[in-house]
Amino acid sequence: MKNVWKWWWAWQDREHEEWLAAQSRQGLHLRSVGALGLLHRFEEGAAAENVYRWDFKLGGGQADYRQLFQDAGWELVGEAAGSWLCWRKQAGNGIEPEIFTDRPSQLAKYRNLLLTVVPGLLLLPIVALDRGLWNDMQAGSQSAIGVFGLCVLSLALTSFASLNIWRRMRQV
Amino acid sequence: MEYSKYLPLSEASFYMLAALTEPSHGYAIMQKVEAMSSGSVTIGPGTMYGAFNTLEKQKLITKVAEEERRKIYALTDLGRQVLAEQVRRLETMVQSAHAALKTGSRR
Repeated sequence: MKNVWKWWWAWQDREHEEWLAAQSRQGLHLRSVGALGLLHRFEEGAAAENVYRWDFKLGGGQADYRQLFQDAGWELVGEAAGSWLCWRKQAGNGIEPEIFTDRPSQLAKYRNLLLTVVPGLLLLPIVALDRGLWNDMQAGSQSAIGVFGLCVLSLALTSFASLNIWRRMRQV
Repeated sequence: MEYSKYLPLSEASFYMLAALTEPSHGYAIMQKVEAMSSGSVTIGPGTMYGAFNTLEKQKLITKVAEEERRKIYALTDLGRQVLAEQVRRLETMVQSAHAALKTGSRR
């Protein structure tokens, strides 16, 4: 077992898949992921040509979804943040298997991601309010600045993420 | 009946509807489609799962059973009509193109 930390953004899924495939070629095969998909636990073995694909499925996908992938020869090798699933299949004869075989379904994955990430990030200040952070800030003299800062941060993160996901969609 | 809102079918949807003239689950459809297209069309599980949801929402297919986490779908009457209409349009297109290619001058 070997643990490797590696930072990656949701819109860098293709690059991350390539990286995982490169590890497999060196005999390191993903066994599971942790810490929102940033911690990779690899099992050491013989070098192999594997294809890795991340799918985004809010809530992790239902039983029939997982069954269909398994029937098609894909193995679930990682789950991150309850909504990212890492599938692996052996490549062979120069054929690179894909979980999405047309453009609309590839785009749908990023559209779903966008529809989850944007409201999530925009709601960040409200979540903070709920947790009592808001009250703490209001008690202090810099309350207005704190609240304002939180909103700015949330807006900046939302723009950063949606811009990058949008750019990723244009490459599909 | 107005079919325009369902057409044209994507390649994946087209083959899935054709395969579902007999009730099947996802993996059986994948195999049927590969056989029908002589191996030239492969539908990935992600694409198929999304198409199931879309086609079911459009009422072109319906779930008839569930066996060990596998949903079995069948074509509805509407699905059959839409598929037939797609075939009719494709036939028109193929005939027109054949005629055009025969008569058109080459450059």
